[in-house]
Parts: sequence; C-alpha cells; structure tokens
Amino acid sequence: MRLSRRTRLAGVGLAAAASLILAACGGGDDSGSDSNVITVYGTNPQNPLIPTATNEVGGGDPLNNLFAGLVSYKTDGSVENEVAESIEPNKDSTVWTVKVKSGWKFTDGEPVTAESFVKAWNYGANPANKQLNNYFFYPIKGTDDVGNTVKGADTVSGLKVVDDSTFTISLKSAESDFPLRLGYSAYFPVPAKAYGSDGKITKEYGDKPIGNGPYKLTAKGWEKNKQISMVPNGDYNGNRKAKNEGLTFKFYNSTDAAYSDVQGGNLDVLDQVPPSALTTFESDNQIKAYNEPGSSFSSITIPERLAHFKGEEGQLRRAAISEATNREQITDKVFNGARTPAKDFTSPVLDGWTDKVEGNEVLDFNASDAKAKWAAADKISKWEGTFTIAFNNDGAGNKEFSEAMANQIKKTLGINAEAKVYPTFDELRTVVTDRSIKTAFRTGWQADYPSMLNYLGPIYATGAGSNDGDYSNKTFDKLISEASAATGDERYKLIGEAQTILLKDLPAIPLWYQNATAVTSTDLKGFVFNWQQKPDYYALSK
Amino acid sequence: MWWYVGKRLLQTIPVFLGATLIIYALVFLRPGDPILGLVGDKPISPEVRQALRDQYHLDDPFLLQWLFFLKDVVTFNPDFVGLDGQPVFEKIQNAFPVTVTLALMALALDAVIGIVVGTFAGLRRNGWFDSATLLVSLVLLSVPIFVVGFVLQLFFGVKFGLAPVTVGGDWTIGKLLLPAFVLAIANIATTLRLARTSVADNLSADHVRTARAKGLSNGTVVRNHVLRNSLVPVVTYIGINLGSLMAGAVITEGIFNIQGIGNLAYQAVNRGDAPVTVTVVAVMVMVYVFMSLVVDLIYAVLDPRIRYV
Repeated sequence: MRLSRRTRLAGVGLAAAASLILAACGGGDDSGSDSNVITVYGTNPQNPLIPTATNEVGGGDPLNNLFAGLVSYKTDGSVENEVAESIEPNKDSTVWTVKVKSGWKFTDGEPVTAESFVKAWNYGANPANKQLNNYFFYPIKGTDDVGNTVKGADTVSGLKVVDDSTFTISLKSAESDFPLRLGYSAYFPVPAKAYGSDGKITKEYGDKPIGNGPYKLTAKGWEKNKQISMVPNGDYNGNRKAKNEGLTFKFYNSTDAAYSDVQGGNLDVLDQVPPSALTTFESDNQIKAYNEPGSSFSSITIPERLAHFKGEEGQLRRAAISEATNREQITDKVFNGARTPAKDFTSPVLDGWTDKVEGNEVLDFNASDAKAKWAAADKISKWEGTFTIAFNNDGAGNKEFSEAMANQIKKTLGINAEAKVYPTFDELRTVVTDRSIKTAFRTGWQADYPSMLNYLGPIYATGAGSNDGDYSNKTFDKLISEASAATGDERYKLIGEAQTILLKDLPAIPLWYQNATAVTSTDLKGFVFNWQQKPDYYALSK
Repeated sequence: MWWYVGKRLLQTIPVFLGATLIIYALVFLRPGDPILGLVGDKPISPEVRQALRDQYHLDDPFLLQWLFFLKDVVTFNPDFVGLDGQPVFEKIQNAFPVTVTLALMALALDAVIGIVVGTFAGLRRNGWFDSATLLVSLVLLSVPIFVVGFVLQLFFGVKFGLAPVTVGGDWTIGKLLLPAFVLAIANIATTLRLARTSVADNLSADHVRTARAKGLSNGTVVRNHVLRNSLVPVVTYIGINLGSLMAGAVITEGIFNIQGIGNLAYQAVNRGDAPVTVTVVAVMVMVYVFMSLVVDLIYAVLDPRIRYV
C-alpha cells in the first residue's frame, strides 16, 4: 500500500509541475495582429542612428524609413527625385547642380535646405568625426581616395551652397549616373538641431534621430535590445507614402528564433531565411515564402602576389580553379538552392545585366579543360604546396562551401587543396586589409547603389578602396572610367568589355549571387524585394 | 558569522581583479581588429580606423587597457561605452534582470522537481519508480539542450500555441516558463540523481537506524534525519548552478530570443568588444562568488555541526 501512495503522490507532483508550466505559458501573445502595424525582423543597431555612421542593416533599415534623400529608389533600382527638385549635370557630368524642393520639413519643423545636406556630408567626410560611411564621399572633389576631406579639413571643397535651395557637387571625374548614389543612407540630410555646441552630432540625436522620411519614431522609439517602433510621418509627401499604420523592428539574436515567430504568427516579415529552414521554407503552409536571385555577389580572391599566381601562369591557374569548381553542385547541395551560380561579376537584378558576357564559359564546370590549363601552367613553373581558401566561420555556409570547393579542386586538378578557418569576420578582414594573408580568401560585395559599375570600380580598379587583391589593369581602368561617363547602350557595351577582361584575368573568381529569401505571415500584402534584397517597408500592409 | 561574511566579501576584491585581468589578457590575445568587424565589406580610411583604435585604446599595452577599464568600472563612468557607442552599464542593467529571473526560475524548477522526485526514488531504491526516473534522467542528460529547446518550441509554441514562441524584449514570468524549463532540464536530471543517491545512502546510515530503533514514526525519520542530511550535497550543487545557469543561458536565450546576459556576452565576444565582454564576465564571476557564499551559509542551517566564526 505504501508504495502505491508514494507513486501516486509523485505522479500528482509531476502533473502539477507540468500543468503549472502549461497554464502560465499560454496567453502570452500580445503582438496585436489585427492592427495594421507591421512587425519586421531587425537587429539591435551597432552604431548611433546617424546617416553617416550607420553602415549595417540593423541601423540601416530603420534609417531608410526615417529619412528621405535627394532621390529614392524604385523597386527595380531606378531612381526618382524625392527631396530634389532637379539634379542637373554640366556638359561632361563633372559638376552637378542640385535644387531642393521647397516645403520639405524635418519632423521637428525645421525646413530641409541645401545646407541640411552639405553640412551632413561635410561632417561625414571629416575623419575627425570617425564616421564609418566616410568612404561614400570619395567621388567628390576635396576628398582623398578613401573619402576623407583633404588634410582633414572641416569641409569638402567640391560642395558649394549657392542659396537656401541650391548646391553644387563637383566630382573628381565624369560620372553620368552619379544621382544613382544619392539615395544611399550616407547622403541623407541632417537637421541643424543634431549638432551639439562642439559641432559634433550629439549622442541624444544618435539615439532618437529626427528625420524627414515616411516614418518618424514613436515616443518610445529605439528601445535598446528590444525594438524600434515608428509611425507614419504625417508631413511626409514623398514617393514612399506608408500604406500601413507603423513599423516595429523587433530585435532578434538569431534568425532561427525569428523564423519560429513568423510560423507562430508573432512576426510579419523575416527578410532572410535561416540555413536550417532552407530545405523546408517553400513548402511550409504556415507562412508565405519568397526566393529569387539577389544583389549580393560572392567570390574567391586570389591575389597576384601569391606564389604561382602571377602573370600568364596565374591567369591559367585561376581559370583552371574556376573551371574545377562545380558551382551548380555547391549551390544545390550546400545552399539548397538559396544561391544562383554566377555568370559575371555583378548581379542579375541590375539594369543591363546579361548572362552572355563574352568569356564567361570560364565560370562553367569543365574538368578536362581545367586539367589542361593547370598542366599548361605547370610548364611555366611547377606547382608545389597546397591551394588554400580562407573563410570566416561566423557566416552561415562558409565552412561548408569552402570545404566543398577545396574538395572539388583537389579531385579535379589532383593537387592538395584545403579550407582554412578564421573564427570571425574581423579576423579575416584584418589579415586581408593588412595584406598579410598568404592564401586565397572569400570575398563578397553588396552594392551601395544599383549600378553594375558599383560592382566593378570599387573592387577591381587600380588602387580602389576594396581592391583586396591589388589587381591592376590599365585597359580595365580606362573602360570603367569611359563607361562612367557614357550613357545607354554604349555604357553597357563598355561594361561588357571590361567584364571580359576580368574573366580573362580573374582577379576574383565569381562564385554565385546570393538569393533574396524571405518569409512573411500569411496575411501580409505588398511584399516585393527591391534591388537591395529588402522589402519596400512602406508598401507592406495587412 | 558577520565577521565571516565580511571576510568573504573582502575576498571578492582580489577575485574581481584577477578574473578581469585574465579575461582582458584573453581578449587582447584574440587576433583580428574589431574596428574592421564594424566596417564590414566596405573600405575604411586609415585615418578613421586609427582614430577609432585610439578611442578604444586598442594600441595600448594590455595592462594599460586593463587599468583604463578598471578606472571606468570603479568610477561607474557613464561614458564607458562598447564598440557600438552604447554605455556598458546601461546594457548590463537592461540584460541582467531577465537573465537572473530566468536562472532563478530554472533553479526553482530544478530544486523542486529534482529534490521531490529524487527523494521518492531514493526512498524506494530499485523500485519501478526509481528505475523509471533513472531511465528518464539518463535520456534528459544525453539530449543536448538545443534539441530539447527547438522541439519544445516547435510543439508548445508553433504547433499547439500553448506557449509564446519567443520571449523578445517585453518579457514576463509567464513567457519565461518554457525557456526556464528547457534551461533546467539537464540540471534537474543531475539534481534528481544526486538527491536519490544521497537519500538512499542516508536511509542505511547509523543515526537513521538509531532513530528507527527509538520508535520514531517513519515520516519523522525521513523528514528530520534523512532528508535534512541528504540535502547538503544537493544544495551545494544547486547553489553553484545559479552561476552556470546564467552563463549557460546563451543557447536558451538564442532559441527563445531572450535579450539577456548570455546573448550580450555572445555578441560581444564575436565582435571583439572588450569593454562589454570583460564587464559581463566580471559580473558573472561576482555572481559565482556570492552564490558560493550563500551556499556556505545554508550549510550551517542544514547541518548543525557546521559553524562559522
């Protein structure tokens, strides 16, 4: 009898504990899915919310909704004037005259003037202000190659305020698509109130920015490590009028948790699908799934300074490695179709893109030709040692694809190949930036503005800021600067020729375009990827 | 006893200094430039990179960096910021309550379930209930916490909607129950086994036989002579657990999106954010120290032979 009494007690205890958990767990859903406030995935911004300081998506997505620039991007990446009345070039596209529309106001009532832009840009370019986006100002006269004001001056000499609504921008060289750049967050205006008595933008402003965009912060605004909430700005009269009653950027530690929340109906938009869900998200009926080629480009850079990768020998070896890589197999098996094999150095979402660039057959898997090219290179100088691909282990799929690629190279070319791990992104970037790395390494590019030239100039032009492989080819440089000045079909023809040179030299081996993937709640309307692989937040509604 | 407590509290000072020094050395040895991590794929001008390195004293010898850190911590400098420009103390203040609550809840579940079930199992060693709990605890011990976490989240949260899927910034005790249970599971299994063995051992101890011989009722013997003595090792284990529960919350906090200390530490380590990393770990060290003090004091209550002077 005693035994049965005890076991009964124990059973009751367990049941009580379990029911306690269940009872208290229920009814915690307070996301208010009936109202037309859209909750979207976000991460806690890593910088103050200042246009020239924010360079990552956690802060960039909110900023793009809180501010309006001279131009705004349409979904397809083309631009239309927003705050600008007109942006007119001189004859050779080196000096641009900007007229600002009247009637634009910051949410505190201050009018948006030419000064609001010029002062913010001067601030961003001055290295003393330590703004991470200062490199965006490098095309403008009065800055050096990396966007610092010359000799640390307070102002950029190429920017001149003519009157309250007019200013001019003088460029270092002709650029016919310069206005394309001006929708990026680094070029947003900042009100006079933002600057403290010492001339620096205050910390308070960075926590609670005052903008001129389609949304404004609520009273709570940015709650650290929790969310940023914003409501439509009633005074806004631009191209991106909000179709919802507000946005809440909910912060997550991991996309896995966010994915579960979309499934559970607590989050409306997650604009990147976690690797763990890639095989299942398109067949999950609790959510709506989106998957299409995107604007971010992945490659392996093999600098010329590595032994056996100089000159003609290097060309042959790079081509052999490129042809030994079976991109379809990796995008399929490693990334479950969330990448699209590359056909060039840019992105299929851009105007003028084509999969028929002359010479791009080097990007197709071709084992016999790869072997032949490698053998030809061996005749110039015999290969020895191991071919190594360096990757950072904190990016999803990096390890898997680097190892798969090393294996393919090993198998096809019959040489030793391996993947080398760097635990974090900044460790890899440090050895790459300091040029102390002695191997090939993973590289990627996400464009700042929707132009194929933005994928070519900043990475492969001689001495460019992101030219990690120190590539230099005079003909390529010339074609790029001619293409910058040209318009229409002529421009795309020049870009094609420039890409053909890259395909021959392969300063970086193109791998794939990252697909834009997203999941949303089933009742969300208006979701379309723009060229930045982001939804147009203002167009979302329920 | 107060003299003893004071002595122990004084001991925390060298522990704090030593721990932060070691952690600072480790962060200093971490390769890579955290400034480049901030910058991402884009280029940065050497001038701005240097200005930022200077701001965070990254080029100073690590002993000097550590002294800067100590100065900021001891003076509670409100301008003591992490790499993202946010004040470190504010971050910890925001993250601490939810993690402490989570850990205490896990601890409570651990203690209640572990001790109750363990005692019943121990009182009837080798009975079917004992065998069943041993088997269940073996399973709980061997399944990794993230598997339990994802599975429970999927079933209770996503499929049946019995519990919130994630916690997020607006946390409440109710929302934390499922994560606390997940966090406690591995510990429950250990506590349960510890309590069971301890109770079973004590049942056959001399003083228990004496008590029975005196003619005391079974309930009195179990309550006053078996249970109380059996709890000393269990309390030690549970007490020390608070620290590991807080530190070990990284995975649980990730699965249930809890913006706590574990998550803060994880992100700071990833970014090479020395000010945040070292402060968080220093706080954790303090929690360990205080918990072991509390455990020592509870001994005296449980076991009359232990006295502090």
